Amino acid sequence: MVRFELNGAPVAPEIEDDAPLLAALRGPLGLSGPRFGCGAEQCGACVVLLDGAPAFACALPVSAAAGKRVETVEGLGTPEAPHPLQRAFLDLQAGQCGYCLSGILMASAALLRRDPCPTDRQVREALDPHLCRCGAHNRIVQAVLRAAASMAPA
Amino acid sequence: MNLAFKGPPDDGRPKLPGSLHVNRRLDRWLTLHADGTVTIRPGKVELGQGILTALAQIAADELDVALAKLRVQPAATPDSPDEAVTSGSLSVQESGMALRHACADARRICLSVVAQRTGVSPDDIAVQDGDFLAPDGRVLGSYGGLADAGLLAVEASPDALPKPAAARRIAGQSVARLDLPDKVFGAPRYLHDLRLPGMLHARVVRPPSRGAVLRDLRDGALPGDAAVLRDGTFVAILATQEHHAEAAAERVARRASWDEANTLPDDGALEAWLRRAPRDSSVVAENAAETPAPAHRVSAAFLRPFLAHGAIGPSCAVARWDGATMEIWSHSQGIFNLRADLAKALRLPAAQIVVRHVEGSGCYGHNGADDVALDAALVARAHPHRPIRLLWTRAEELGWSPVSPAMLVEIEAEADAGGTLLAWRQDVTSNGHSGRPGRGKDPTLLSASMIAEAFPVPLSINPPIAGGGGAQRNAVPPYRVPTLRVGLHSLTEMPIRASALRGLGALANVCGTSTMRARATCWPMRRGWPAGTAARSATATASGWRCRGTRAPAPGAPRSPRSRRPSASSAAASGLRPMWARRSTPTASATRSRAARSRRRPCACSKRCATTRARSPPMPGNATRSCAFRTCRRLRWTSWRGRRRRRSAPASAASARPSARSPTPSRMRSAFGCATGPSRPTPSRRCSDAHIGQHAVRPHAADP
Repeated sequence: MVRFELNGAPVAPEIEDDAPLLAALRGPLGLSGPRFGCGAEQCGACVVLLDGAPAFACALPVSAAAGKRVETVEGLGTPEAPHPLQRAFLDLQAGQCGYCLSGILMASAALLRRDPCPTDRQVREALDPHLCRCGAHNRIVQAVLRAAASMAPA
Repeated sequence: MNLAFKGPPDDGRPKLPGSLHVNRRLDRWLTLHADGTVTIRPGKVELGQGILTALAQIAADELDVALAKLRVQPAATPDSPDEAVTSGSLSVQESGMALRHACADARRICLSVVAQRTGVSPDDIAVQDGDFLAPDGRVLGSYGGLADAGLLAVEASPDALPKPAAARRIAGQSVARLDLPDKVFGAPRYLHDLRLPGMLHARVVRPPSRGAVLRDLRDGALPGDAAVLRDGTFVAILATQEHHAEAAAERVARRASWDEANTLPDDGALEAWLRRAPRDSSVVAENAAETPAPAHRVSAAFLRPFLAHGAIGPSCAVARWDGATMEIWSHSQGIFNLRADLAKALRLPAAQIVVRHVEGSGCYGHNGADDVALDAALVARAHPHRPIRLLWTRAEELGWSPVSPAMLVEIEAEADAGGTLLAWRQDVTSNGHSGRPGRGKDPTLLSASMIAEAFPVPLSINPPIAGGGGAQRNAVPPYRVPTLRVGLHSLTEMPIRASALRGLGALANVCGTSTMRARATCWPMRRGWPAGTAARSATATASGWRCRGTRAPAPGAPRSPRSRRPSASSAAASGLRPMWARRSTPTASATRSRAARSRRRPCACSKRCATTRARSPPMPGNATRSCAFRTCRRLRWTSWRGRRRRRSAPASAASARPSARSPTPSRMRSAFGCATGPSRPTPSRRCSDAHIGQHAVRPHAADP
């Protein structure tokens, strides 16, 4: 049984070691934030952070997360205490169907930790592995930039 | 049926707005609760377009209740009004108008009851956040206080008067979407997140090609508790754990042997197939006049391949059969239509089927959402009392969803020496653009043709223009032209299930019509062209659009060179792009200064187009801040690397190899273009965005 840290809490999901991490997160661990889009690392809907770096949970075996920190959008913030990214996405209404947002939020969070003041271009490049089929791209980029601005020290 | 195309049926009953005319009971639309909240039940569904928020705004405004007190119940067949399909950008028109009138009527009824009880004239009672106030400020009652009175168990009255537009306070404002917080915090909201006690996960093993018949299925070990269900050619796997079902489906696919046949037109010969396939031809519009001999003639053919929807979330459904009722959770666009076809396919009375809408990912037309509901129902029927969640794979989504049909649009226009338009002939060849369920004798659901007692695959149709049209939508040009003939050739052979994708035939027709107009900008005068054309051609001249129209060559004469610029030629060869590729790219400073002069701001699109937009504060909500070229944007984050590559490529190479002129980066192609499953029909090899291949200028062929 693989043990890892999920959103700050130790977990040991009852699932085979070679099952996809996404199956563990959405199955025994009961999350709904990481989403299945393609199962082929092509759309980014399943992206979670593995030790702080974006990873495609759909094709990653659970065993790859052993002993590591896994973060999902559920761990980012709550309606009562939203992460600046989540607040910015809601303020700018950055999303249409929203199916892609979990992965995009996690990739953006990783970007802002790495580079607190990214440029428009850097945001676009960081989000390049993610597909948004509705066309909310520009608004999403603006939301990430706004979140970065709101997190910057005064 | 979407009422907005035709208006309410003339059934002798007093006319009521929108869908209220055919769903007249007020309690079908809204319910008052004792705690002061109000539930509305639109029959239209949320597809990511934000409609539930817009409808709640309309209802809150008409009732004078705070938006926070509005609850929107997702559509369900037992208690929602039947509003047919959520499509065609008609939801505010059909559902919004109905709700506005229903809420105005509910308010009128409540006020009249309060007036009777208190002796205050209804005209003197004000409504403030659900409370009824006398002129002296006394609270006379509230909607909540009337919740149990059964006041809404009546038909709507045509006499109700909604507020005048100027009195609206909530509708028309930009408010935050009601559904977005769940999506930003990862809360379960999509059908894909639905978990019911005892639920099993299912997958389908699809044939390797269309029309393939299952010959043999070898037995063997399967992971976990996975089991196989077979009904004719329909093979499904189910297991307690989702990843077991997924792994088992892959294993079973390898153990199945099929009898296959070649049923698809050749990927590289779509145009030939469109010209050859059997058809029903009809005339969409025709007028004839004596006209002088033309001095100019320009003709072109526009080819658009089959297009997939490519929704980011694969189609999903949950079904439960308790021996008497089949309950389905679906992200269908039309739950009542789906119920009708489920009834046919399952050979059950519709009364024994309940369909409940739960949001899926974004939807751009008739995708696999309906088909997967039948798949789940077939598995559920074999496993009574267990909820079955069936999810399609990405390969199924791209390979087996209905697709938007391939189209050939041929246009020939003639003008006199002065440039006045004399004649316009347009021929549109396509499969039907509507294969939605619930409208025909046989079910259109995918697996209905695969089960043991199979149904034939119904031919998709092109509805008449009065019903919105299909392939012929926007085929009649908006120009004043003396001699006009627009023909529709609906193919009667359908190798791939075809159905609605945004705009149906409009995309190819408008592209063709607009391109012809752009070509004709070299004609000296433009009488007959619509208002604004002159201004547009002035803009075209100013911004460096190039004229490519030529005099009609004599039959047999060599073609005149179409362009002196290779980049324009290669871009023209790839369809939609000519519209912008032909224009020299304005410099950023020119765009900025033009924008400053006109007090407008440059378009926010990533293509640095010359479009400017009125200066206004950013709008929350669904408004798209992009230019008219949105349809040809590749939905990418970064700049147009592909476009730059294409521009630098030699024109000959670009026009010789279709793949070379696609700017689609590999990631997009592999995710939404090439299915990696057992079945790869023609459309899945293409990007789901529009490509319209424009062919050489040539004399128009004789009408078929």
